[in-house]
Amino acid sequence: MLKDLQKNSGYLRKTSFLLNNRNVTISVILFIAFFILFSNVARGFFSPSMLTVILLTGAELGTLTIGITLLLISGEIDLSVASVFVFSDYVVLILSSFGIPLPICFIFALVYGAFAGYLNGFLTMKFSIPSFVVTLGTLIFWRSAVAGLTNGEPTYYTGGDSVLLRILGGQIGIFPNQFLWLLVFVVIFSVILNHSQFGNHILATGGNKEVARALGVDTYKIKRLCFMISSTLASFAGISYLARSSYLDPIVATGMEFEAIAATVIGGTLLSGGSGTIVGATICAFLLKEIQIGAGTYGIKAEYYKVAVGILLVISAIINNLITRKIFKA
Amino acid sequence: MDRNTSLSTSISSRRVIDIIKDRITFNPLYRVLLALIAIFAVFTLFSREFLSSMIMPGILLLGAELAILSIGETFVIIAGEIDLSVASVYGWGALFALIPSNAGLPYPLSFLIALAFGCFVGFINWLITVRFRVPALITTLGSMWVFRGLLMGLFATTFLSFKGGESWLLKTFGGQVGIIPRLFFWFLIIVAVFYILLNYTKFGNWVYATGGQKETARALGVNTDKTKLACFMISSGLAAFAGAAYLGRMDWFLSRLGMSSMGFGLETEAIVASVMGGTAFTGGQGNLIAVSLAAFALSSFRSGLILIGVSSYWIDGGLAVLLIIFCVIRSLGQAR
Repeated sequence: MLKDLQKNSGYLRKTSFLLNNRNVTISVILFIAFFILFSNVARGFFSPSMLTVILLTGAELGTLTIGITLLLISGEIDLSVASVFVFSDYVVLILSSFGIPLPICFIFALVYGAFAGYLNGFLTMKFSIPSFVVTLGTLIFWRSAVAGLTNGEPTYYTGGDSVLLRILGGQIGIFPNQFLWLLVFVVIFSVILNHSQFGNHILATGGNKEVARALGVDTYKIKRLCFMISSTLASFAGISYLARSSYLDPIVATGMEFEAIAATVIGGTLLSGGSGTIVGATICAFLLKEIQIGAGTYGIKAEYYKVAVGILLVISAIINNLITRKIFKA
Repeated sequence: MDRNTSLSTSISSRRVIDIIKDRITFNPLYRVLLALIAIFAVFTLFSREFLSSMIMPGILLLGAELAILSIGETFVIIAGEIDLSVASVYGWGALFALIPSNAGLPYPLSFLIALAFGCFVGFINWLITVRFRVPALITTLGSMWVFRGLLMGLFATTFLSFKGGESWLLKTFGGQVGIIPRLFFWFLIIVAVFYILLNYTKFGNWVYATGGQKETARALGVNTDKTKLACFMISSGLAAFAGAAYLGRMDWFLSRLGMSSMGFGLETEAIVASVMGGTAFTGGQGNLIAVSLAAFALSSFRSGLILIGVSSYWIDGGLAVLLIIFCVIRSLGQAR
């Protein structure tokens, strides 16, 4: 117990710095390498529009990844982010089809996201059900709710144009606004994680829950808040999806939660909790999207992307483990 | 005298309700049995056809298939891990039984090849989870997507039909005896074998010990690593079996095997059945009979909803709600 305390307070700080630094560097190197590789192989890859697409889809994935990273660091997992993403887009579409002004629809969607997160957190904490079971259930529930309500058919946006859509979905040069929003989120949550008491509590809760509780951290509240952050970010991403696609098909974003988990693990987040960076995870989100779009341009079938993500996920998890064990042994 | 009798009656009736409540929250077998009876009662009320010879075989078939998968899944969960890749292995099991047969091998041989593949996947899952210490959730999430991606990538647009010859083994997987599908008899054999394995052998003891108290088990000399290896291989092996047996009913192959229209599939149903059957995620607890009954409860739930006309999208959602409800009931029991 005492050894754990020493390890977690003194050494974990140092080791997580090393881990995170290493992973960020690796991610950046891989990112550049892939970029060079793909721009040579597939003509037309280096076009500005391709970059914009990567930044756009990467920003969507990145928003989800931030939430999942926070949750994984605190020791839980959220498999339902993609379903909340889809359902909150549906909320906006449905409400705007009743004539409700778009800003109000957005607020409703965000409230729904917070509620979905609260539900996840409540069920996990109150009934001691493992978070992956709860979020597996909510994953299926929200997605089947969208499919059931729309009967499997796409829903179309029937509201008018709005300033909000341009704020969320316009472009400045080659940078889509979604990307700029993501940068804002990355900065905010990075600062929160690494320089605030709340962030410290998240790291502590994930690192060693018992020690954290003994030190006075309300681990239940921290975890509940992380669930709510994760789902609210997911619903924000869902809202901004409307800005790039004027219709919603219930199959959209299937498997995106898996990509988000992969991004955060490849980016250095330890699955045991207690360690991870927002920046590393976000870079890896863009890395994944670059692989997907680059492979697509080259003609590789979309399903093989999922195979690559799976392999990368497992390999990164193994490497993370090996590095951690080596560091703790030293 | 009258007052005494009425007093004792009221005391005993209160106790009966308490007994039922206790049984529901503590004993998974009662829970599932009650759920099964309730489902049958409700749906028969809705439509007489529920008990007919049109619907029952479907329930028994789906239930048998799901039960086979859930039995394997339960082994893994009791041992303290999880296996999300069973649905993908199911698809590949069907493929591995089909392709060699089309190439001319007798079906029983292809069937064995499919089983071997299932055991191989179990080995890989075990290797990454136990040797490399990656949490089973992530490992099997990864292997689920890898195998599913490979399956859909390689075979999405090809239409594979079974061109192998007649086979006695294949015949035992398909068709019906009266209203009972032949697969149901396979299920009975499997549940009997694995129930004995789990509850009457040393190995079964090891499985419970590995999941419940891993360190104590190791101290007592149980090889927890080998036990987990066996459990992963059982899970994937049974999934491949179910996939290979699919060819007994259909003579062509779908690349979307094991998946619902929304992309999640049999692995989730297997986990739901396991949870409904009282298997604890912390490991060390589980009852194969309860899990099998839960599988039939789920298949009758699904069939009943389809009979009423509920769209299949909502049925998946209903499944999720059932999962949460059963988890909550179980946790209430544990809290007390």
